[in-house]
Amino acid sequence: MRVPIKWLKEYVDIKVSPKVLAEKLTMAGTEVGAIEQNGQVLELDILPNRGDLQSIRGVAREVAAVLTSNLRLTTNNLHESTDKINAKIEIKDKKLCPRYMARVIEGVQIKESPAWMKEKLTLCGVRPINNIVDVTNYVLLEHGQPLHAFDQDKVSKIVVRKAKKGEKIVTLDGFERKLDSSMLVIADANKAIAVAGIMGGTETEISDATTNILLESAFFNPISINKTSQILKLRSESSVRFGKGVDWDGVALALDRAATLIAELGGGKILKGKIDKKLSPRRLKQLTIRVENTNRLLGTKIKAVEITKILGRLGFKKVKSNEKLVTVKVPLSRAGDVEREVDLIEEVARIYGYDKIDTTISRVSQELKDDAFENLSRRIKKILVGVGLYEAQTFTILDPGFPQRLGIETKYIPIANPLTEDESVLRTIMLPSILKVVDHNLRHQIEDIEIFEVGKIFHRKENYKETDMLVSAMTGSGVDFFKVKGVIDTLLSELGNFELETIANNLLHPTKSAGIIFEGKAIGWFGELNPDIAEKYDFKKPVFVFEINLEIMLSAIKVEKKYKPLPKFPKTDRDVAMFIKDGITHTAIMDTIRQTGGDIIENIQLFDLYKNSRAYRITYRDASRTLTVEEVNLKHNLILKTLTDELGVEIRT
Amino acid sequence: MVERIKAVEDEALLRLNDIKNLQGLEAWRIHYLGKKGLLTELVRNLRNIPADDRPHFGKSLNITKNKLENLLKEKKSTLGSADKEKKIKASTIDITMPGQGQKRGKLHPITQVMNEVVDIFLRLGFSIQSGPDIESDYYNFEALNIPKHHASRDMWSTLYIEEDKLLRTHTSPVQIRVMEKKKPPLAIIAPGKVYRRDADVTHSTVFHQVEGFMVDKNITFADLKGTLTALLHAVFGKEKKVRFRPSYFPFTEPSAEVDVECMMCKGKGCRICKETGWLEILGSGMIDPNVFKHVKYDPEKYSGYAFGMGIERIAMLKFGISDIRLFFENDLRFLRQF
Repeated sequence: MRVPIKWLKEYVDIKVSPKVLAEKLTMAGTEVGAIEQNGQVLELDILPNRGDLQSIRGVAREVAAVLTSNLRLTTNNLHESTDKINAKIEIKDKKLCPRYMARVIEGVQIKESPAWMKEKLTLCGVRPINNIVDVTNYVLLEHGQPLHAFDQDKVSKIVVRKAKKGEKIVTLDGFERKLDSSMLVIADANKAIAVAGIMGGTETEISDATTNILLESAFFNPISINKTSQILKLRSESSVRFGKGVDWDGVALALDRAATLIAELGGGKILKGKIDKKLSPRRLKQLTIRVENTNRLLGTKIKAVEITKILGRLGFKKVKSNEKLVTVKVPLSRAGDVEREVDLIEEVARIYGYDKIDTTISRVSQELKDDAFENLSRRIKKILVGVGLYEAQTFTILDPGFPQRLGIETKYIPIANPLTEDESVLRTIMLPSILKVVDHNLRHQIEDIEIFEVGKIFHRKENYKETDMLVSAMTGSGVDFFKVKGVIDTLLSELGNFELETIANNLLHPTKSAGIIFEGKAIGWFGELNPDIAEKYDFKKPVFVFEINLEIMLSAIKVEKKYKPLPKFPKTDRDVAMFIKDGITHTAIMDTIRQTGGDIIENIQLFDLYKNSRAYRITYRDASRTLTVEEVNLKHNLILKTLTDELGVEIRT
Repeated sequence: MVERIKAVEDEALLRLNDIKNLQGLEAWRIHYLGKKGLLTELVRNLRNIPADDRPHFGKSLNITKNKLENLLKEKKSTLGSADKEKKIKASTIDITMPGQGQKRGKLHPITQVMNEVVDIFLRLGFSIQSGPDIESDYYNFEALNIPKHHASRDMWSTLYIEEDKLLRTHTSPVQIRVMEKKKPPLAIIAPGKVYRRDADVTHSTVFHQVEGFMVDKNITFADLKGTLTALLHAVFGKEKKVRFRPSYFPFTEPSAEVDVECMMCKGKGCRICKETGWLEILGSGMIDPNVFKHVKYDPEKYSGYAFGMGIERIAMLKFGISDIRLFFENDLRFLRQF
């Protein structure tokens, strides 16, 4: 909100510079976003709970409290004519409209506003229109009370009621609005003439020919205003203020102020009397603040005297006080947000000054352990970064068209009110997200890509279950099936035992792919991206991917690591080189060696391979004694013979 | 006999002078001091000498032998170091050639900043917890004292899945989820993704927050100030000024916005801090009694503070990044920089 300092000074003494004033207001909770027009205007960010600050008078009250300055709020000097007001007004819904007031001003001449008014409006960023509209805007700024002026001759009577089903109205902005029965309207005998508290209709609008004016000042239910404003997607200066709640007493003050100004600027006469339909008179609420509780919450040693003083400056009048507690009356302008003791404590704290409160650090000892997934996620990231992969962070919401390229059916979870089509569904698979990253990098001439992401996918079932996933994509020089397998090996053998199984997965190359089994559970898959998909993306080189379901993996991890005694006796290494026939797998060779060798085989390492030539180093060791050369030779020769007999390999010498 | 010893010694000394390399020296050693060397031969001949004369000749022989052995050692070390030097010179390498084989990736800058913040709290005894991205209206708003159609709902522009299912607009629902299940004392840190229907160069529909809160008897606003000051000093540097400014959040009372001295202009005022000299970093406050009521905590017995901060914003300020979208493009030229 824009607040001209000159206007403030009409109500409060300000002896400090605009910069100091801005600083003081900011540190009391009303942030001054900018000082504009050469220090003439403060741009205030009004907090949602401070409806009372949406007016010059309200800000003046706050300034007086913050600067400990004098406040002069003027009262109205209203002159009524002898003719009595004759408006017919009926309130059908007192819950949504607890107070409705009106005055009638007759014989008004519509013309331009005087320079002083236009200047103030302009400083506040409001465009002057004519004297009547300007007065309603002026009083809105001054008192924070939205008003509405109807052309009295076009309004036979006023009925405040809920809209009828299917009722329509053309609002002042020129749009036709469809109303529903939850919305409050101002109607005449037949139809809605204004959406209550939000915007008037064109039919009863003030025109150059208007001479008689019905001026409305009301208190509308804030929840109802916000709801209607939301459904109609219509916000106005008026709806924002009613939505935060206006000052009950201000309804009357503003009405008289506006009537006076209209008569002054438009030359009309104010009819005698005013309409005031209200639910019941409002009483000032009393609240008690305990000194001990205040200090318990703030960590301070503030005394009752100081609490009384601070609250007094803010307009909370003391009812009684002793050294343990202070009871005050809450001014009506603050009735909306000061309802509990803690609200008073906040008032005390902000005026006392947050900067005067100590800085301490407390620790607690609690039972709760860290979330297991968060720990796993950190461990995984550490390992993958250690083997050269970069971590990516992608959006969980995406373009539904993008994964369609994968050629598989996915049931996305659509967002009801997306900001853009590109971000309109929640992902149900990870792959499109990581391929998008690959695509981006390839398009920017980055060819060696090794990336991963730990992120969530979403399911419609089980009340929108979420699953944490690990996905990775690798392409470029040196990347092949076994490189990716190596990464998975490094990752998983740190956390448990894993093996592979053959799988059929449409996303992957039919032969260069495998399923990942971890501690007996299928947790994911890896391999070369299906060439058909790669072609759709226009990937020129093979892209390898893997995906692991971390929820399943987490459930399978064996946490304990156990120490095995270090060997006491020496080892003996023997190498075996061989040519193998097609179809003989590494696993078959390993199994044969292990089974034949038995317990004294400590390790078997493939250390050389070229075409169908393989070389293994076998490490022999007995845990309880030193093996003799003869024993090892015997066992090794047996292994060579078994390999030849059972697998048909040709031993190279 | 003495003459003989002297002749051998003279000859040996003469020849030693001419020796230029280790092989020559070895030949010299064998010739004079070896098993069948001239000097060794003389020692062996001692037994043919009358017993009375032996000590005299023996002494003389020993002196010569020691002399030659010392000279040998000396010469060997001179020739050896020259030889080593030659070898070392021959093995000169180009140390500017690239290193080999050691590859390491990097964590995403968002993760790095997130871990930095979380680790500070882990050291203070906080526990990491998490919550779902898809939340109900109850956890995201209602239980946090943000009733339907209340003006304060305007503080969050929300993405909805269904009427009662939405993408959480902050990590604060984790407060409710943890407090529902556990009684105080509690000290929780909860990182995660959050969503807003809002996007420009500094706002992203998907971004990250870290939520933290502590509840126990006698937790005060002073504790909030002390803890968050320590956090900001750890993240931005001890010399940075920190200020607590009154603000409003429906789930805290009193509430505070926490600002840190602008790192671009050092508090003088610039475009980044909108001429204020301060940067808004996090929202915080004492947990509102209405929130405690939803989780059945007695606000007369317990009190607590809570805070939340956007990680992208901190990362942007720390690294000097001006466009938030860079984080989610995952361009490797970007990721390699952190």
